[in-house]
Amino acid sequence: MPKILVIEDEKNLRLLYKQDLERDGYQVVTAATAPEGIAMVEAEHPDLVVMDIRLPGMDGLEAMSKVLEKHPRMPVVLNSAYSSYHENFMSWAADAYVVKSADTDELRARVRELLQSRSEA
Amino acid sequence: MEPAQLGATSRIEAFLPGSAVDVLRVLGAWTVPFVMVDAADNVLFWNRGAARLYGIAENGAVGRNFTEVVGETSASPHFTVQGISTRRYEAAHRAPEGGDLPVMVTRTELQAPDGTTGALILVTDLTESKALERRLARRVAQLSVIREIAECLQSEMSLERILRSILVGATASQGLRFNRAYLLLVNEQRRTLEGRDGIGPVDADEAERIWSRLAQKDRTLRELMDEYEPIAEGALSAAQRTARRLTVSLDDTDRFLIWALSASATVHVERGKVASGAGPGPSPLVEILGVETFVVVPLKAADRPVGLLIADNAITKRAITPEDVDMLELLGLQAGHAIERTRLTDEIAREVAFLEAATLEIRKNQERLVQAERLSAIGEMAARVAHEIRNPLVAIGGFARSLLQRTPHPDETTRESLEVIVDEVRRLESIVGEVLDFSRQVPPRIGSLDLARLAREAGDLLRFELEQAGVRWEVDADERLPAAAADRDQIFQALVNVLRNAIHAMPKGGALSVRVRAIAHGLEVAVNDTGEGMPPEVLAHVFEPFYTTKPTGSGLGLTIAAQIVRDHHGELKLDSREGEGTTVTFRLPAVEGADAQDPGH
Repeated sequence: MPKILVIEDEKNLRLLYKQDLERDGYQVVTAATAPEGIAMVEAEHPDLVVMDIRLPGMDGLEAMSKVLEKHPRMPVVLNSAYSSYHENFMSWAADAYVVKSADTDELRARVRELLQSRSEA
Repeated sequence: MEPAQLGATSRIEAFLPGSAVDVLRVLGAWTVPFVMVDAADNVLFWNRGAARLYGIAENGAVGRNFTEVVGETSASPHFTVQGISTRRYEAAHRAPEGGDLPVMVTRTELQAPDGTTGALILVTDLTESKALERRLARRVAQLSVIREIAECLQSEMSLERILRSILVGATASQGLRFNRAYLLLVNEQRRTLEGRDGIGPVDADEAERIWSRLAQKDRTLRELMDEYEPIAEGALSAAQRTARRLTVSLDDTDRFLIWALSASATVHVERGKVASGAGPGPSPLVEILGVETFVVVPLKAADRPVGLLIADNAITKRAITPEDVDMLELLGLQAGHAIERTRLTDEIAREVAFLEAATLEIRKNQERLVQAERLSAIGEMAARVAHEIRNPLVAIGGFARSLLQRTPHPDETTRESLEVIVDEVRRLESIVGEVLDFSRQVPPRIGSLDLARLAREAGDLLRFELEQAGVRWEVDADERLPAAAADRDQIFQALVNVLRNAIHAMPKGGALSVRVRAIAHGLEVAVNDTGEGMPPEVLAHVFEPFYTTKPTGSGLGLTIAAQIVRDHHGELKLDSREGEGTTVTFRLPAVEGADAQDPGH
């Protein structure tokens, strides 16, 4: 069962993503802050990371680059409040970019695609 | 000697001693007219001067009554000099060729020792001094005419009326009495000497008509000037048409008129030739004016020639006298000043208008600035609020969806309720998304963009909405379009926003077209719908953020589109007619040096 790490500071959203992704058949672990998330990557060895771009304490993009330094092949899905985030080239490093929405269909579709291509590779 | 004369001489001798008679004989050869009469005023002595003055020989005068001989018809009251013996008076005598001869008569009464009386009469020809007197009077009259014209010109504000007044002054019988006159003015902008106006009859027939009509009524110059109508372009008089034909380029320095202008001095043309012999030939002018003799006078203002005044006596053929020319020059001087005055007035008016426009523009810019600041403050606040409610919204909507999906067989009420939550959250999310996008405008990342293709992609994205509304969709692009220099994502967003608005304006279906065409240095996109259109009161607000007429809109779609186009140094324009539809147009620059390319490449 693929393991997904969700880094999201909003408690209710953590719960929403956890429930929705679990229903899709994944094991889900969560972190509320960037440092906690980075630590969990090491401790839990997730297959994929879903993270908010804006996180307290550390910028989501910075956290992502820290994760990718150690695990360059780790799929990362960025979750943001904005429909465009291209003024920061670091966001290009993400494998997917999803606008935060109550409709989690797109997020789940990206997760599914990324894990599938990973297992095929 | 004739007996009569002998008799007369003996009669003279009665008055004078013998030696004095010799003196008289000398005086007989004197050129000053000198006559002696007896008590009955019959001529006793008639010298050579008198013979010459009256054209009557001595024998034709002696023995006849003096008053009859000289044809004295009127005389001023006599006045006495040196006591009672000498009187002097002015009189009109008969000139040799007929007509009046103005004279001064000095008459000295004589009395002989025997009591016989008679008189010595000295006659002074006043013809020359009378002529001088008349010329002086005429000069005074002329100067007062010039003064009158000058006064009229001073009070006149419009250039056209000033030109008219100058021409009336030059031709009126109360003025300078030329037959015809034309005015030419320098036009610095067009670099021409322009024939502006003309006055005067074409031929003797018309002259007769005009002059007899004018003679019927006694008018002052001012009244005459006021009588003239403004130039009617459709119904120019012959003289005005002639004036127009005189127009020449200031750079044609080999033309007579331009030469005359730069010479800045009066030029006489006599029998088709410049009287002074200098300068280019006036033959084209002679042909246009239809007269060989005329005067050209410069109109000067502050030593700078501003135009020319041409005058002729083509109808009456009256010779143009030096006095006429003097007067015309005086008129030219007055005219130049009056014309310069209107030019300065116009210039000041233009300056004032310019300053007013500039002031208005500054005020508008200030208002825009205040508005922009206000909007940016509102935008910032809206963005904060939007950001704060985004996450709770996602949670609410997300769990509602989750509930819908997790409950295998919800009862109708539960399902409906959850669907309402999901729908409302979706709506709120789209508004919040737009607000956030609006508040985070980033400078465009300019790339090379195929606009026709982008328009088709935007249509593809909206395919579902187009089908739902029953809207026909078409992209019409020029065959070869240059690439646009623009940010793909931003222009895509602007296009989608505009297209969405258009679809919303056609709830009952219609046609939506995007026309992309190449223009100078760029491309133009025109989005046209056949929708409801907008009334003016809506049009006035469409670009304001948060202004919306739609129940589900954020009021940001068009604002964002306009902002994006503005960030690309363009302007989004909106043309709408209620009930007919709306066209939104914007322009984008082409990639520099880009060749037109086939659409879709």
